[in-house]
Amino acid sequence: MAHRKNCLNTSGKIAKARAKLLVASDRLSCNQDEFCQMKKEVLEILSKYLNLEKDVFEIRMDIVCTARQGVQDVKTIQIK
Amino acid sequence: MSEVIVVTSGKGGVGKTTSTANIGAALARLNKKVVLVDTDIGLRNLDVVMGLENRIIYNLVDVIEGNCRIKQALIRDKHYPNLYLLPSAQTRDKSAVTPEQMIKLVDGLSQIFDFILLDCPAGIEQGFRNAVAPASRAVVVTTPEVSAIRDADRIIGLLEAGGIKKPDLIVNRLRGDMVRRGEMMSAQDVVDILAVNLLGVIPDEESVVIATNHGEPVVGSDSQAGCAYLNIARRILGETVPLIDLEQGTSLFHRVASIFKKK
Repeated sequence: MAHRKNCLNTSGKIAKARAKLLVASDRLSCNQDEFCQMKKEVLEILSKYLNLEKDVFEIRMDIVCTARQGVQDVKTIQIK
Repeated sequence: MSEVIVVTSGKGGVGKTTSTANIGAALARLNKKVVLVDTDIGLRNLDVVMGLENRIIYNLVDVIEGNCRIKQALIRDKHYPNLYLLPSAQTRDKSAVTPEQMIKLVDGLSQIFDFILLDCPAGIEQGFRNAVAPASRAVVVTTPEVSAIRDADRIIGLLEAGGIKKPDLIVNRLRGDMVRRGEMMSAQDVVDILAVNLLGVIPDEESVVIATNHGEPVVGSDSQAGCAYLNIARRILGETVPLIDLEQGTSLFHRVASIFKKK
């Protein structure tokens, strides 16, 4: 068990998780806490209408494209 | 018509210049006519990495300002007769050149060469805009570190906004032994985060430092890094080349063999 825990918390894994969160919050230009909160709330809303088990589903949010339309930046967020 | 590729990273010190020099050498080795353009005005380095620092007479700014013809500023490489360098100016700064002037300069070079590699300065300011303006393709260099990946993502966003649709990625300084122990992100981890095409992975090897110390490319030497750069050049030319498995442990035989090779 102790060995398993080590595998899950290697510095490589930690780096990947940090980089992922950083890149996602950079793309959406919101801070990391807000981003995590948003993920949580989106999951809550989804599970209100869909039959989801919270611990099974993980939300991945990502900007798909940033296109300039007129004067506004449009961000498309894809939720997987 | 030539292919114009910008080598960029956002973060400094991840290996843009070394990668430019070695991809250039590898393309030249594959019989392509190649010019490397150092666009880092004020902080020129590519000449030193290639060992050509003593041969500079004219530079990029001289060409743009009309002090000389393009061919007068081009320096032929010591090893590959079809590899040339257009050095940057050391005494000027980024504002000496505009993106339009860079496009015009590259237009002139594309009459002569198959490949034009633009070595981009670190950062996202004017130097970056100058380097990216003439490019039709981009190679983003990163290391398996959180900070470098963050900057690479920003650069990829800027490149895509600037019309370069599918930038390629090089993961530099990967240590297979650390990845195996779980203490470093793997190339696949980096690709998962950045979601771009992986052009190649360069191992963190002494051979790169030693070659650069001599002002020579690591391409052509009997090293994994040299081989990895050659594979990158092949992929740029459209070949399908499998990645070298850097995460595999080196056997005792290989280690012993490499000790003897060094002597």
